[in-house]
Amino acid sequence: MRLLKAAIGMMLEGIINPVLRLDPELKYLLEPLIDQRLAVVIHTSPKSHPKTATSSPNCHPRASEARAGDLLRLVFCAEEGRLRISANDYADADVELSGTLVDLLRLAFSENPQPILAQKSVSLVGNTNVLQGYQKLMQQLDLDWEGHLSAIIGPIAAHEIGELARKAKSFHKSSSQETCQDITEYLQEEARLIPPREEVEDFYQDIAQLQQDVERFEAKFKA
Amino acid sequence: MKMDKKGADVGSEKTHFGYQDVSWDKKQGLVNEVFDSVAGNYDLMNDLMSAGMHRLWKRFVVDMAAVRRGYKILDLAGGTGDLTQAFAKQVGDDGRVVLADINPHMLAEGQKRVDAKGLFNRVDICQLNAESLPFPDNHFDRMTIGFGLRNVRDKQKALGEMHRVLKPGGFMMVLEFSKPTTKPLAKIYDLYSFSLLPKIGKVVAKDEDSYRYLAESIRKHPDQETLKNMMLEAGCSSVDYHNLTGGIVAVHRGFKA
Repeated sequence: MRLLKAAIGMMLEGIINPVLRLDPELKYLLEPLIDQRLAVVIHTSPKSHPKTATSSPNCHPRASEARAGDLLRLVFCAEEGRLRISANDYADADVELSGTLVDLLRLAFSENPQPILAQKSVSLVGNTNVLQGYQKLMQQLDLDWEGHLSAIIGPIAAHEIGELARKAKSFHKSSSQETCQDITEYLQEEARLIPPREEVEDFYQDIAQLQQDVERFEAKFKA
Repeated sequence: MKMDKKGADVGSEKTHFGYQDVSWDKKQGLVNEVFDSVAGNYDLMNDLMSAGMHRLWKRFVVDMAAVRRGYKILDLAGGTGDLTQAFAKQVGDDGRVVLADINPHMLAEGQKRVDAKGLFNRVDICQLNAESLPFPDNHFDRMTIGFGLRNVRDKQKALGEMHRVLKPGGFMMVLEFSKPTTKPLAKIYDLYSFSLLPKIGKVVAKDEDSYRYLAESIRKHPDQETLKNMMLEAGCSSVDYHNLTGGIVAVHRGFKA
């Protein structure tokens, strides 16, 4: 098992680091994170009441506290120009995230992680500044796929493929937005299952007006 | 009569060199000759002999070391510097790794690789004998000796020295060939070590005898429990070990209180 974990760490480094190196600014992005360890513990099943989150810089999740149901514990540590990934449990971490694989991936790709953390499907122990540092890294990464591809297939072909990919991304974004809008309009205007915002606001205004009228009448009546 | 742990008669100045009994004074020279011969092909032979497994064994040691920025590390019998390079990346400019070996040819190979990786500002190269370390007490956060202890003449003395220069709270790691934990594996391993290994050495490195010595020296090395007791006797407050690949290799970890 130990050698398998060593192999997993080496394999993940072999996959992730070449991708990260597509960003020419990687060295500078990693600098603030050097020697800061993020542990990610993947559970086999959701945990109810995981550990309470703390934000103390002195609270280090201990590597030895492996729990039943922990499938894998990965520790990410930034070094110069690369990430070191260890699957063996000997490294203490500055911050530890634990949850199922699905929940962790949702957190990793979410633009706003607060609601996911608030649901407690992912638990957080340790220094939240370190977690924010790694999140910032993910957000700031700008992988130069086109540059890397051009070294293999030539700049013109790489540019054409890059253009196609950008158009596909833009189409996906706009069609997602349009689809959401269409569904909202259907539910509000056609199926009338939920009222439109303007109707709700008018309704609340009418209630406020009625309340004022009642208060005036009450005042006149008492007078 | 003064005996070492494996029964070699220190008083009459006899010790083992593989399966041969040689005088105490001659052993070091004979070991040096072996490593002078293998230095040029050392990494290739490691890959061939272990089918690449030595990289995983060393990776496990690096994981276990849990090194942080600013640490001071001694890589004894560091040879061509695999462990040194990994540690040097982790300790940063504030830390220090000493690549130490008794054999100048192995050390030269190690220095070349360290320089090629641009890590020369974090690594000191030192030719020394593990039985007499030229460092002050309580100096290093971590210490490793990878596939080198079995070549040391006076293992107990070397372990004592390693303990002396370790900082309180630090630990040493001994990565070494050991005894397979099951009989069938032991039989396969013997066949591989004594029949196939020297032949690989003859074909690739043109040196069958050196690789036969390597196989024999593994058999004469203390087993897991014996080495654990030796480390406790050297002063370690606690010792644990981890068998890898069915006990063919073991990593012993000894703490200094």
